[in-house]
Amino acid sequence: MASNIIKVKKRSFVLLIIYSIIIVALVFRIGYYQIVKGEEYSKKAYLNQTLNRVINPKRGTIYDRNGKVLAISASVDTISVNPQDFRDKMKDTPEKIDKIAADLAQILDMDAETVKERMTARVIWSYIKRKVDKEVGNKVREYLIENNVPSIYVDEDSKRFFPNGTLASHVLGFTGVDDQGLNGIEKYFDQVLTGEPGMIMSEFDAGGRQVKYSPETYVEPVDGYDLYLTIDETIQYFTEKALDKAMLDYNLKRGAAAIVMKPSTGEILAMASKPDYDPNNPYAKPDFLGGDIEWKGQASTEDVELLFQTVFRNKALMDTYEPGSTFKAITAAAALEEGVVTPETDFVCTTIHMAGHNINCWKHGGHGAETFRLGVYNSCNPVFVKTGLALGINKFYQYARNFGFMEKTGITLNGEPEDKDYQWHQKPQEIDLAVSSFGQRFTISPLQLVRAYCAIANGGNLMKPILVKQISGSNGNVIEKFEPQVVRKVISQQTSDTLRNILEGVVSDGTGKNAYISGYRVAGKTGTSETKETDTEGRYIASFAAFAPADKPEIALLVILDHPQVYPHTGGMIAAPVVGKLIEEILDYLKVEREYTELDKELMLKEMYVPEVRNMTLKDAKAKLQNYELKYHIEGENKDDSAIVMEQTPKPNSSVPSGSTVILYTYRPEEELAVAMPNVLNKSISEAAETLRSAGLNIKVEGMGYAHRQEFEPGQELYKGQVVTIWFEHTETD
Amino acid sequence: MLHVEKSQSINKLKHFDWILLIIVLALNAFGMFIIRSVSVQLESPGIFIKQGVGIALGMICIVVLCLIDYKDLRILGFPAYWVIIILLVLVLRYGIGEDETGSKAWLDLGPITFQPSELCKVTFVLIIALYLERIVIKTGKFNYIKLLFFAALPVFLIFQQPDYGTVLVYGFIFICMVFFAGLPYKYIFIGAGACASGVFIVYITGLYQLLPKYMLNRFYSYFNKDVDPLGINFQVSRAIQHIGSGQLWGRGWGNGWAAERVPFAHTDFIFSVVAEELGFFGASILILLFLAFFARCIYIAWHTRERYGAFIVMGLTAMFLAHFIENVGMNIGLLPVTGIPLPFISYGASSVVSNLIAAGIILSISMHKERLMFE
Repeated sequence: MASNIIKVKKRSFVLLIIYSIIIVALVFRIGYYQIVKGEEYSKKAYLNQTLNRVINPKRGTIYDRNGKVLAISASVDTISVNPQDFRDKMKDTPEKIDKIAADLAQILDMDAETVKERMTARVIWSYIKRKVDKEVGNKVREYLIENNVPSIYVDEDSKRFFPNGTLASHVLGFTGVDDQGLNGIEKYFDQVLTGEPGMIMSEFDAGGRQVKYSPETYVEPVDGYDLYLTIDETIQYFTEKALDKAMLDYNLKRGAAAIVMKPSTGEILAMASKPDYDPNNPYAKPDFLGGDIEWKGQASTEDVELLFQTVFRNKALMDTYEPGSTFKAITAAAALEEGVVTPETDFVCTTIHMAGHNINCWKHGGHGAETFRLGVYNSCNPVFVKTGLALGINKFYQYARNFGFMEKTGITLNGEPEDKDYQWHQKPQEIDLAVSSFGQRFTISPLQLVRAYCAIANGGNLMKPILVKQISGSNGNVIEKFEPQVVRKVISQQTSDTLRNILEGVVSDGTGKNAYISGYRVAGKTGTSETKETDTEGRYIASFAAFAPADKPEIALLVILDHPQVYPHTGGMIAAPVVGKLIEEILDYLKVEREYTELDKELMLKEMYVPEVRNMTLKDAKAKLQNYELKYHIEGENKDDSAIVMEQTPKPNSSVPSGSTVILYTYRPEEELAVAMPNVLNKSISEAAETLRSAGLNIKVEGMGYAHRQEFEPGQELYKGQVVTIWFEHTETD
Repeated sequence: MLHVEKSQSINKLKHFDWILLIIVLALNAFGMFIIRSVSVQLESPGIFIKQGVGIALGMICIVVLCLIDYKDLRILGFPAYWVIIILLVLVLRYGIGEDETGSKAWLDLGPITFQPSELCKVTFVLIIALYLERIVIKTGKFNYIKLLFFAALPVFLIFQQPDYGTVLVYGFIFICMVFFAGLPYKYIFIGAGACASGVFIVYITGLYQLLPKYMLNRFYSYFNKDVDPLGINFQVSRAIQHIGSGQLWGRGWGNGWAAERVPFAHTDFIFSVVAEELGFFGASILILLFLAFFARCIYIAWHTRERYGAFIVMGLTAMFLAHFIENVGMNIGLLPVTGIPLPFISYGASSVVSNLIAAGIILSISMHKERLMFE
């Protein structure tokens, strides 16, 4: 027992010695770091304390597909100071500090107090003013040299400019004060655009004072790469102009969105959302904000949050919605591909009773008997319910999946909706299928729909949307190219051909008539979607999805008008005209040749200016009018060729359709002959033209379809040969 | 039943080890001093207050433990041990993690989080001491098996969390206690040899690749200073930089930069704050305080005539020492980085309370120790 105790005592002694040795070793090691290497570490720690001045690299430029600049960084100067060093060096002449502060404040357009505060702050680094123009920076440089001011530095910096202001602001995004991308392409490709910062390193002693005569080491910054987008600046401009006009015309409560895509490649030619913002000054108060919403200013958190919910929001990418009738094209594609219908299959438009619900057609009384083709033209809901049911749940949802409606498109932008945002039925029943077949009770993103239309247009290939064509180095060498990528084949070429033909008919003969453009074959489908506000406020989303030319599609596009506060509010009435005009502008710009159909030619009434024929002999006047493809009618006793034309109606330089009649007076009329204005309302263009002609009047046509407004009331007295404007419109739409 | 001897001494306060208490209080005061500096710099007064509350709670534990005769721990040790084991099982199920290792070592108790493996070290020591005593005085059956079982159970559970740093601490405690109890040197050499060859085999055969990734990364960082997959070398080189820049007298209290610039400066890397702000001078005072603490503990063990108490004291001393060496060692880049705090100094209520409970047990042993009749 005793021996055991002794053993324990011995061992505790051994442990004490081992412990002590370890601890002494630790002390030595710490001593080595603190006393032997202390000075060195101290300096290192100081250097790490941001004494190196960072030189920001030039951020890459963003170009459109044709090399036009969309966002560019300009070289500016940033003025900074090492206050500790400054104070130290100004120790002997403290009275000069106020003078320097005042002078700098004047050059920099700042408050002298602020400048002084920053120059003498108890920190070792501070900015006096960031991102000033080169001109101002040079003035500061000169001043510093002339007055021998120490420890204040003027370094190169860069600032982002968006030369087109609001144009494509949602696609481009904007940058923060440190040049970091905060939205859009600027954010998604931030790393690519940023480059690597350079540095000016100077030697400092442990007190943070610059070591005298030590050279500054300059590490050159590596500039960021340039991006070439697939966006076409001009098409983007057309698109935004069209949306801006729609915002005003239709008083859109929740904005508008549009996407233009190239069907063969999946390239996005334009992507626009309204309301928008100016990326040069993103935190400015948006115009639409009324007095009831508080605006704090100074880029406060609440303001920024509000901005992200409103003007920063890329509706075209982020806002999921019920596609409504525009989705019928997808149902039709599936049905045609599966062979459950042909364009000539017969249907009858009747109310469908199902699971306790009645599904009616949008048209009161229905369309009666019609072929599938006409069902699409008329956008007839019962036809699509029957078609959907014939397809069956599995096939229908399989096609919805294949067309990419249940997955992200993979566009290179942040904020694409997640899978859960699409609200597809988890376990669809027949009633779900029935309403889904005409585009209700599930949501999709606008980009998904345009992409699906591209697949219908291009022969059945679902493309991955491309927004960036190419990443280039600063000397123009290609770093990365983004090639068109087929995600999957969704329908056959034959189905694509058939459906293109049907959708073209929708525009030429169906609910999409207001998108008709003579000379360009437009195919498309209207849509009027319900939203949560539909029941309470009677508001809808009007949309139109289209591609053109129908036989050889160059563009596919979708226009979404969110909550129009006008009546009518349907896609066919308000979205289709917007799309029609936009397609015309884009195809003209792309130099796509117009092919006029026979009907076009017949309807097309070439505009021309009436020439001056007064004081000419009748012979000369007749010849001149003939050249202008104008008819004439002579009033007066003297109808000899040598008679002089005293007066004419219409007057010279008024514009009339070719083939109009010019009245030539061979006497000086006291009053031109009067005729009464006939009623042409609801007549077609040719009927109206005929009526007016027989009344001795000339017609000027605005729009297509049936006359809904005439310039003068029926019965009003007009001069014979006067030009009367008649407005035409297609009224039958879904 | 267990045979429990009670001290007959009436005036127990006479034997109370005031010196150890003063050292412990001094260490805690030192800790509060440094944490105050960190809390001001990080602008979070909460950590200073929470640390104060932790110390107050620990002091209450010390008083309670001194009122109990440590020999009662032969009985009380078991329920305490099992309670902690249950908590360790609960941690596996409901635990939350606080670091990059993914180990889930904390229980969320509303306002505070609690780390059972800290307190478990104390109960571990109590049980090991009990069975070592039985082995030495040769009472009871299957003592070796029971010893190994009770030692292995918490280690196994902590291994599951997984918290390998703490497992190593358990190993160190166990070895120190067994050595102290009188394990013949030849076994020690055999064991050391077995460990060395085991490591060698694992290294040669590549079995180490079965280790978790973060652990490999830590070793990798340790042996390859210029690559840094976890940012650990960054952390350590920063810490060394700040320790070094303390130089002889330090930058002065509250004037250092380590608090803001070394990750985890208020917990695992608090030593870098001490060394930077108080210099080699302040760091040496802290280390001397620890040395005094260890020496005094060993002195108490030496004078505890009764083996059970001596074993407990040596076990707890080994625990403090392991923490101290590992923590200071990783701060100066000598040892790999693990999440082990510096006793009494690092911020963390679980750690402070457990440390003070351990100190309280040592104080209780000094107070109630058996005086041998023939002395």
